[in-house]
Amino acid sequence: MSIKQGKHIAIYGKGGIGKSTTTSNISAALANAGYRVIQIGCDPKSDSTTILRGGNDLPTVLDTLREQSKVRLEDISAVGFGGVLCIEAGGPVPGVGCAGRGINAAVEQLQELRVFDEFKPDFVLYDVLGDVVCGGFAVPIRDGLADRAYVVSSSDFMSIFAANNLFKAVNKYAPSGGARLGGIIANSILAAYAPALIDDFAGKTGTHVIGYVPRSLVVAQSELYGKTVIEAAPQSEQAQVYRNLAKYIDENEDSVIPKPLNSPELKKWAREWGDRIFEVETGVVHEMASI
Amino acid sequence: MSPLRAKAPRSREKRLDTLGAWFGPVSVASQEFAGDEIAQRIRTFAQSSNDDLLYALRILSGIRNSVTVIHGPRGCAAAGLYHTATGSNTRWIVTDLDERDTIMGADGKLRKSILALYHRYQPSVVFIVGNPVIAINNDDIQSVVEELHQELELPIVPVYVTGFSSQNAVSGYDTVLHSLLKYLSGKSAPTKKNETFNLLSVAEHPNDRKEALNLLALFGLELNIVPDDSTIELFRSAVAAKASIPLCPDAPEYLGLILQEKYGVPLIKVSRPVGIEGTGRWLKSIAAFLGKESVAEELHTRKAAETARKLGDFSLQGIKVYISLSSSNAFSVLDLVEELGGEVTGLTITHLDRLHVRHLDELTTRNPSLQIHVSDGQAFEEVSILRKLSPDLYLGDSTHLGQVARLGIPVVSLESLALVGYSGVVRLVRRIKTALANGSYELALAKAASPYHEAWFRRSHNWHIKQEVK
Repeated sequence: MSIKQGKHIAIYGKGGIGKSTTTSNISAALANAGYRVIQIGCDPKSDSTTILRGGNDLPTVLDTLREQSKVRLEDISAVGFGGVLCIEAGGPVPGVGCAGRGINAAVEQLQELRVFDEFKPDFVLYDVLGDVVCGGFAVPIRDGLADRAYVVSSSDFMSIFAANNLFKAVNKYAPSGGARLGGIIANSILAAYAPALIDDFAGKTGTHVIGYVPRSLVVAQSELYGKTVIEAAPQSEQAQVYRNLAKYIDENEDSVIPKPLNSPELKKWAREWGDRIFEVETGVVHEMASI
Repeated sequence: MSPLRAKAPRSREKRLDTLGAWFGPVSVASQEFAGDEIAQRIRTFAQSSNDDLLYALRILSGIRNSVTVIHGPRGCAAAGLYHTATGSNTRWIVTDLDERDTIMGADGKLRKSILALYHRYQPSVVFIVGNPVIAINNDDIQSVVEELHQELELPIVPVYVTGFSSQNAVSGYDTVLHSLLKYLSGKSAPTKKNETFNLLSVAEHPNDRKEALNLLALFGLELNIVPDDSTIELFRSAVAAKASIPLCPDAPEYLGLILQEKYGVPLIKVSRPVGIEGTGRWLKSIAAFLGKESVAEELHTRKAAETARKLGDFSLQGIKVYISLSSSNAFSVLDLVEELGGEVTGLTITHLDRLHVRHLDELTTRNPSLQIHVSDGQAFEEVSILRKLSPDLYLGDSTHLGQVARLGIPVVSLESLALVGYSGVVRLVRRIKTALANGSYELALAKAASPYHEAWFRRSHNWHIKQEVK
């Protein structure tokens, strides 16, 4: 069997958690380091690669498939910052069809176009909506498409729950050739307790955090200009954080099969952390605690 | 990238520009296939159609000591009945998915079904055949395959037919062959070759295979027939063969191609061994590969003379013949009819693609206005064409014979007639003689009312065949 072209990485996470921002900045950092990178947005919202492309429109694979019988690579891709090849899978018209199937069909179309053979990437990053890990959205981590999956999570409980769901999917598919977990990318870190909370979740599930991305105005500001931080503020501390993540992904081959928490365990864990955070926020002082 | 890396092969439409709907003169078809892009056609109304699942079962039902799990809702058992109807005595089961399974995933039921079949029948291989429900749900077959393969130490082969990925049922052959190669044949070419030659036979009549073996005995070859009436051991050994000889250039094409590209087994390019000259050409192509041209030449001369003697003064001179068969079969029977002096006035074939370009080009030279109708199951179109052409004889499989006979046209069913080789010519001629000698049955049927309205006959034959516009 021939060797797969480049490292294929899937980045999952709850919607709105900063997945696309993180993925795009990692892509930009990898490209800046001299690598050939493809970023594939696997989300019907199809805005994964916007900040790599200066905010310009890019027809999605599925929109193009709907309108043309023959799809060419140049119809569905654009070269963004640092030469990153940007592709958006897209989805059906909202309210009809099956978005998961759409991801499936789009990925099949990319294989059909021999994108990886033609472009010869060093890295392929799949940016995947992670709220629902149904069969379709699990496509990048099934069938040996991606080698490793990373999950972007904040210290928000809903985001942790989404990560735990992804762990269930990885746990299911990894033994039969699916992707293994590379680690957690802790995002939007603001509160002092956030790193400890995510670390604790990682410890409980047999995984680890590969980097902490602080919440930063530089990110928001760069996005308003349709750019990644790597492009807009390359000297900023935030850019260095993304470069470190890219470096980790480049150099580190570690991966695990996570041990997801079951529902009662997850609830108990969340309740305990909820109590702790409440006490910190409201200033509760326990008996015998040293002040 | 390895062609076997994907779960399923590219559809015939994508790989060979296969058309399942088309009507027009052969010269236009030839011209169209000379270009780079073939515009797909769609049928706005279809009377009946096969799908890839049914074609997949044709191959699986021929593999000995196998069991097949049709993984889907109970209605899919209809496909299993077809499996039985092909005369197969291999076992099959349907997993009977219910609403809950389609939501929660059906891997549990699949596992249970495989285990039940394993303990009951001790098969040497288990096939899992997909369907639209499984494909749309992205049901997890792979985990079950990996898990039970290790637990039972038994090859478990998933066949990812979907029922909708291709408009041409013939893609089902490719999908099965892809799975068999992927799961049984190993990741690379074996270091040591064996002394055998593969005889590639897909969904062929047993007597056709027998006749091919008789013919090939001439060369003293050790033959391994795959996949028809084969075992997984025999299939596995195909990768170490010296060369592959197809019995048909169409149905087993994907198998021959991958054996050549991935495993280095040369594929001998041949047309179908039907008709006196057709059989001779087949033998001579194989002989050229083996360097035994004179042996084939000698046999052909002798057999051709012997066959001519058996046919006596039989001729189809002045007889207009219509042929309706699977594509390669149809083209080879067309040559045979012309060899017998008949005139072919029209052709219905199941699909048309780049594998048939040679036939299209040759026919364009001989008879450019010959009309080709591409359909798999559209009796209403065929009847309309036949009523206009009014041929003297219809040669076809059993699918539409009844309807054709009601037009008063003498029919010959080729469904269970072994046509391969010199003896195939004699058998066909015997049937034709009977059909032409007494047409009273068809004439009696023609007195019954037509099942179609006259309005349909006034329309063009390709009324429902449209070019796909995007």
